[in-house]
Amino acid sequence: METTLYYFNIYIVPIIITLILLFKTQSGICNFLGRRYFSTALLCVALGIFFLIISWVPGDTNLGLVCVWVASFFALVCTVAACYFWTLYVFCMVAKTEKLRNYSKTMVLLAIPAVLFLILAFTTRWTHLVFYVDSEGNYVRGSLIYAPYILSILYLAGSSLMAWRAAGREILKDQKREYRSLILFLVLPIAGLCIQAIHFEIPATIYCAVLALIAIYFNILNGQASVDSLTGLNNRGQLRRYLQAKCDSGEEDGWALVMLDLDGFKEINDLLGHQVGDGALMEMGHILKLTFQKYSAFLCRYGGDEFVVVVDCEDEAALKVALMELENNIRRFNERPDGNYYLRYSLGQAFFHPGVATQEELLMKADERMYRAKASHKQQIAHTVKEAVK
Amino acid sequence: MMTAFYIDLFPCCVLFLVLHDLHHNLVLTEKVRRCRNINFLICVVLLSDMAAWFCHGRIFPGSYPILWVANVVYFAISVVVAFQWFVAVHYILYGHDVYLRFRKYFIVASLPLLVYLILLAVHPDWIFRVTAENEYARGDYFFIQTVLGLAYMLASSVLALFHGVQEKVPSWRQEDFVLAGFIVFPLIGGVIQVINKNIILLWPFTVVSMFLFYLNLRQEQIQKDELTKLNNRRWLDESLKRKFEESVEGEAWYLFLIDLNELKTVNDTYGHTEGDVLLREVAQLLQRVFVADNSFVARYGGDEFAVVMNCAEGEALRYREKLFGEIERRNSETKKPYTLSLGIGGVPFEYGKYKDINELLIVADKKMYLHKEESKK
Repeated sequence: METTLYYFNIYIVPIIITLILLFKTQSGICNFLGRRYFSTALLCVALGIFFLIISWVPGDTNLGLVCVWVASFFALVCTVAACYFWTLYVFCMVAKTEKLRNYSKTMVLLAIPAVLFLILAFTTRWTHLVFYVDSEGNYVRGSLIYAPYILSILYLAGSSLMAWRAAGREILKDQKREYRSLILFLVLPIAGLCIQAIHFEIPATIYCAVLALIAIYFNILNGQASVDSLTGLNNRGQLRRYLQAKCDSGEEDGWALVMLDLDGFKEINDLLGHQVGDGALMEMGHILKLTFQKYSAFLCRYGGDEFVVVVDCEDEAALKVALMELENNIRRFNERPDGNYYLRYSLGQAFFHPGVATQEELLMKADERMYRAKASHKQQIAHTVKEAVK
Repeated sequence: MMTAFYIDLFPCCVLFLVLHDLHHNLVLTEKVRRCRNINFLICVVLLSDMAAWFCHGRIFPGSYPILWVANVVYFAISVVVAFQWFVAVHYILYGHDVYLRFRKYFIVASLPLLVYLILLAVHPDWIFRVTAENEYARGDYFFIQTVLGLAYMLASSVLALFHGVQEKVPSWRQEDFVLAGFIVFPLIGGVIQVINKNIILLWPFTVVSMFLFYLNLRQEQIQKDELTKLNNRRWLDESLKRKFEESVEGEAWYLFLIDLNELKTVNDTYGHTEGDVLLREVAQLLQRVFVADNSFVARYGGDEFAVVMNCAEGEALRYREKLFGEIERRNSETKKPYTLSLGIGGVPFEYGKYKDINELLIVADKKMYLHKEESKK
């Protein structure tokens, strides 16, 4: 009984913390992508740890014998299931959709190893391949005891690979970081496994796994807090932090700050309603993402109808090319036949020169130029809402 | 006794993660600062506990002084943590002017702590002893530490409960009760530890409580609008969406969109600071009016607010009248050079009538503009 108590004492806090995370994701501060797979994985982890504790009950009675077998069985199943659902979660993140039905082939392929293991685990009652419990109630390893662990690591390695590749493709820096953080759930448990292999008595694997989950949860919250909910771009606070880091780092490579403001946005709002206005902002965010995909750029909604783009580029000519592209994309949007408003904007840019500029100066300079552009736009009479709609 | 060492290891790592996250991702308000300090102190307690367990029963160079110092730190800080929590709860409940109002009271409340700390410095052997085998043992007056810590914790919980019962805004009341409930985990852990000395749960469970507290803080910074302390746009969208999806036939709820007229004029004439003051004033007014159990007040955009009420149309309209009354009263009493006027559009939710939540918002928006135009005439 003493061993059971010891394991209870060691693992009770990780279980409670996992359950708290589960509760928080369920009650939903935020509805992030793949939430249901993430919470299923959390549930599997909590159950897995719980069964691990139970599997240490003394097996000297009949009841104890059954307990040891059932608990060992479920502990293994939960381990694999947690890794499986984790993979689904990462898949959701990378594919940017929660409708996994569209990827039925991949899903079947992903599920095959898990199902095979389930069959193996069930039949181990008779084959004793994975483990068995001898007549004294001792847990004995079978010849395939490493199968579930290897399978779990393979799942985690596969999902980490997916996340790593997605991080390479991603342009939004925050998103990049979020993808990279997913790899923690591979690295930390394996580190724990290594520690535990050397010092058997340190319960490092589970500690590390739960710590990784906490870190990842914090990162999810971060993504929520730093993103403007309407456009999906970064918000103002993030911009401040990003600019600070960039100014402080003393990078030699050139970069520029571009400030954009929608012209006549009030007209859209007033004549077509706030919902259409919100739609226009979303479109603008979308066009910005589309345009700056190829560049290393930081996109931000600065305020009501203002946007800020921080883009790495060698010189003013390179910046000009990017802005031309933006202009083209906007024109293409305005030429669409079914729209009832035009997107028009004024912009001002400021190039960063090491040693000269602080973030306030940069912002001010861009702002000033933008207002000058805006003033000149005002002289031309251009409506944002199409005549026919009025 | 490496067992105890491992048991403390995990909560300690959790706290490190929390402190790291807090440092990088939270705006450092007074509340966050207090949370950070308490977490830091608990870290010290856990580390000294781990050091003590590491040396317990072992003899190596320096093991005796380490064990001794670790125990002194442990016993001193663990009560300081409880006192800090006591102060933090006051701060959370009563806000910034708490020190002016409670200064004398805090001095009195800290006296037992001071006496205990002096006692610990003068007669540490009353609280704990280190035997010749370099093992730790409880002293004769060990209970002082437990009782004192428990007293501070209980006092804070009672205070929060008391405050919550008197609170009128339902969401705030709930917050108070949650605050009162933080004692539950440490209490359970402590009781189990007293019953069975081999199970070490008091501090690990305290960390669980702090972890919950921290998550709530983060949630608050995500859900609340910084300026007005109302719910922010993101949280409104989220709640409306969920409410819409989960609504059933015959369910009645009501949505108001409220627009503050002339914010731009105030901003331009009196400056942005005055504009912020005005926004805060409106936020308070709205929270005073929509106090019913079932209203959700949010800042919708720059100068727009939204209120969701779980009630039938008639009752909602009564609240609307009440709001107009409050505005009139404010305008007649105020010393500010500008008057306050709001455009209000309200729509009852009817099951099956709207395709999605946007349609409902569009209708409310239109009504708001109509009302605005009318009041201009």
